[in-house]
Amino acid sequence: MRGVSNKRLTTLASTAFTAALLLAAATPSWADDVKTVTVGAILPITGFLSTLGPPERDAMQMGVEDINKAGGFEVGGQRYTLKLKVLDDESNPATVGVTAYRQLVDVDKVPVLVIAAGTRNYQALFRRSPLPVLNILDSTYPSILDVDKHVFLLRSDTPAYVPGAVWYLKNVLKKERIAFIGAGADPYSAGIETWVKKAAEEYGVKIVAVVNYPLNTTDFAPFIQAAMAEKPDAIYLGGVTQEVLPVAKQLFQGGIRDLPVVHNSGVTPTQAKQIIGDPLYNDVMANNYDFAGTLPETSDNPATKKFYKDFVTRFNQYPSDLTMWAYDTPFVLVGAMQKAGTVTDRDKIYQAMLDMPVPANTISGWIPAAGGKLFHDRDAQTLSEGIGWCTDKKTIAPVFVYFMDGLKVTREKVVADGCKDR
Amino acid sequence: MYGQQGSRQRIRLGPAWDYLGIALLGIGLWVLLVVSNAFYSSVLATILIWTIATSGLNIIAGLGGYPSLVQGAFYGVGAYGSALAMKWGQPFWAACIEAVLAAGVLGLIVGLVFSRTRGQYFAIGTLFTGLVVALVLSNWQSLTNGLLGITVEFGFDSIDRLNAVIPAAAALSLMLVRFVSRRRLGWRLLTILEDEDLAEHIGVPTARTKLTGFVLSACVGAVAGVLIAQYNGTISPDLFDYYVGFVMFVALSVGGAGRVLGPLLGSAFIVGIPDLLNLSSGIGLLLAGIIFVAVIIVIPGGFMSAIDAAMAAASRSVRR
Amino acid sequence: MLIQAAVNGIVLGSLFALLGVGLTLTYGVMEVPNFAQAGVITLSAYAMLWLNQTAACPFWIAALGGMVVGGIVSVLTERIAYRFVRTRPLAAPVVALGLLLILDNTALILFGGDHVSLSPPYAGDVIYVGSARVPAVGVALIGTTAVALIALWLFLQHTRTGRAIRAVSQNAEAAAILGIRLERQYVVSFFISGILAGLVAFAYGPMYAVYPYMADAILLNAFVVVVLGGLGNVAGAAVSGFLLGLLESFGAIYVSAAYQTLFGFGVLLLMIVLRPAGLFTNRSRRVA
Repeated sequence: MRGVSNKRLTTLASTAFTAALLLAAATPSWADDVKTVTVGAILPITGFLSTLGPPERDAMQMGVEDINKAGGFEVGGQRYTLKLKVLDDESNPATVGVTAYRQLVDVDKVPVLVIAAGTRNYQALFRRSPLPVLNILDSTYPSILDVDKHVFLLRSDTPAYVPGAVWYLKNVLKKERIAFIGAGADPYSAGIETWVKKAAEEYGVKIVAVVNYPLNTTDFAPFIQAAMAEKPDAIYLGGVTQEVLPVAKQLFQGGIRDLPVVHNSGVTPTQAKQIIGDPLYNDVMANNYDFAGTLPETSDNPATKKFYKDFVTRFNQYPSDLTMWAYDTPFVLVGAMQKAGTVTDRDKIYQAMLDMPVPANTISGWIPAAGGKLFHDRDAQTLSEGIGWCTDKKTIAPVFVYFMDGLKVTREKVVADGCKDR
Repeated sequence: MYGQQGSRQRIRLGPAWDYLGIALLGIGLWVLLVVSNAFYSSVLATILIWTIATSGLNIIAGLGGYPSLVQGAFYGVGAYGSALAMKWGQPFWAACIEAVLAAGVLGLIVGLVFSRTRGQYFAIGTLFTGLVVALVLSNWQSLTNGLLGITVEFGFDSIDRLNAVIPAAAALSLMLVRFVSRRRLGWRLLTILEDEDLAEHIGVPTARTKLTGFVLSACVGAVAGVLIAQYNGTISPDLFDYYVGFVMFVALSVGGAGRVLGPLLGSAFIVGIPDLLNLSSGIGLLLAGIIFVAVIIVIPGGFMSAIDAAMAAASRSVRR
Repeated sequence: MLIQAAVNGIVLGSLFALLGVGLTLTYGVMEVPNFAQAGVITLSAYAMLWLNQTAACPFWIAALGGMVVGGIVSVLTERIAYRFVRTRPLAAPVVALGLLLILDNTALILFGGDHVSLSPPYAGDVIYVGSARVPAVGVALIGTTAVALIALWLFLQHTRTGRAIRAVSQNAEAAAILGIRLERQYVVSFFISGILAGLVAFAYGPMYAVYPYMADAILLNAFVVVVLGGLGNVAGAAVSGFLLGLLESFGAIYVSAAYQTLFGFGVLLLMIVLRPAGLFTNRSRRVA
């Protein structure tokens, strides 16, 4: 190997400089196709949130296709169709997500950005190039709506469903000593912990232990043992599916089999089977209770039931609550653009979204705010649903439907025989 | 490149043409940064910021031959240090200096701890140091906000300023390595690379030299961290996961350790391949892995030595 | 409490011993930190998963198949990559990381990134030791480690190949002079290391889940064990594995569970600085 002399280094640098200039001159610019509107979304397709992104993408695709099949939509006398563009943030919004943000917002110039997580990470970018942002997943507490006034949340957030779980434990399952095991570093788990504590205080339930495990834990034995040392009569798990199910499995493997295990992760039977394993999952899930949004399968709305059937047929997967919100997203965008009378003016679309009505053809069961509006202070809400497990049918069934008004449980309905109709 | 006698780049004293070349390169990169669309521009900015961090690493690892896998921690300290200082009311320039100082102090401590460790033990030790730093910081919720990360206050007057500072800083970091390699510190580091025991026997103050090199590497790494925080406006713990330090070392080796332009080439490669080819991250990383292995086996000196060989062949054929 | 901590520690220790021994074997014959071992474990686990679920083999056959896959992949890493950097220890981290990326991402591309469970027939069973509970998968881990260590010891002490490997690991030049064919020993060590990786997959897979990065974190613990025991020292690694497991387990129960891994890493940093040669080794290997 030869050493490089001064002259060579200079030659090298100058060549590179010239190449850089030539490249710069040749950088192409892209023209937009005005007849198609891009629905731009940043979703966690891979990474520790990967149980959430793909179903959202699939359901959103179904929504886009249904709109296009019906002939697209019309704004200002021009007919448009929708195109879905999903970028993966790899569950890593601060490093991968920001690059995807720049692509969709600055290069592709989408009118509205759809995101699932990482709202806080985009805060500086919101300021640099503001546009309406629709978050279809992140219900963490403190609310992401506080991040920026352009952020909308298309689902109920943590305080709208967590307290119901504690209420159910106390009043239906008759339990009063909860041990909380959470993924402390995950903000979703931390928010759940806050609201479990608030609800417990309100309903007169004791929290006998709070244990948090660090990121990347795979052996939960010491944490489980610390929690069980306080002799709880129910276990509450904080976190998303991929965090909660392994803990439930290790609880069972550690011999803890007769305590109710409560969480808020929206687990589907497919995920339970895959993550816990067959045939173990049926026994592990037997005393699991999951409180989150409503399920498409058990809805009374025929359109929602149809969505359920189509999703199962097409993707061979059980759709959970978040699929309905994802499906509705294109309808919300079209509604906003039509109300604003533009497909490109971001500020007009933002103003329209603030007080738009609930769009027709949505299936999530949005509860309208005053005046029939979709968003109540930029948050759209549905009922909340608690789900239990049917060991004979190896699937989930509703046990409790409710709506939180602050810390008051309203519209509550205890479903005692949900497994019968499955 | 490592362990091969007589294969080290011999830096000759001479006119400052090299600095001019690097300056021109910096201007070219700035032009490219400004005219590209937002996506390509952000990829280039990330490459340039990585160039700064790996250039810093080049001092202790390239010139000195010490495989430091902890550069990621200093990168993270720069990012979090400056963001937190600003949150606590410091003006931007003060925050930068404080962050760099913090990294320097951490570098001093780590350097002292490993002052008698060499070779792969040094590699493992620094890797685990990075791991411990990352573990402590990401679980220290009250300080770093954990996984949520921190939103970073913008310290520049405008984005244009930031877009000018990034390539300027990258060029300066390359010039720094060029400069250091001509000074006493650089010569001493090179002797340590060649044969540390012999160097010690002939009177080179190896301990002090290594420590100085290490602290300098840490400080430059922190500067890169400050800039990535400013550029993205947000930082989170995976910025300085132990993995980052490892990848920075690989970027340097693949680009050409000990060579001035090595960090630029290596960073362009490591950041560019997954982002620009827009492959699903699995395929992108698989490709990157294959190329790491292939390059380091076939071209031990990294891309720079391949360019050397090509240019030497070209000049030979011209002369003929 | 005490019994539970001890039991947890032995389970954890078995995992660490198994990992550490696999890693130190290859360290002994060539001075390369084999981060790719994590990738071998992952691919081995996926092979077992595929055999068991897609190909509907009984679990034991799938486990054996996975172990063989582990051995083959490990040998491939040596033949295709490590072989060329034996004399260049500072290029080794690059190769190791490159291999890890290749192996992990092959798994990602072939099987997807979701967490999937590897389910042996005893996955749900529990065993009671006094007041302490041990999941059956934990018992399986202890048993596997015990069998593996005994088998390995017999191999290294009483077979010609085994003794040759020990010779190479002590002094490669002298071994070559004595007529031992070095290339063959490298291949054999990597193969055994791969089989051990397969055993880790078999024992550890059912405890959590199988996914492309499943072994990356625990491999770091393996490094602690290897350094504690002395690079290349198989017996040292085995003992250190159990020591580390007990240390982390008692630390988790009596000090703070959240920093369990931190104890291990802290130990490694102490060792590297104070006694890099390890607790048990007395060979004259240049370490600093």
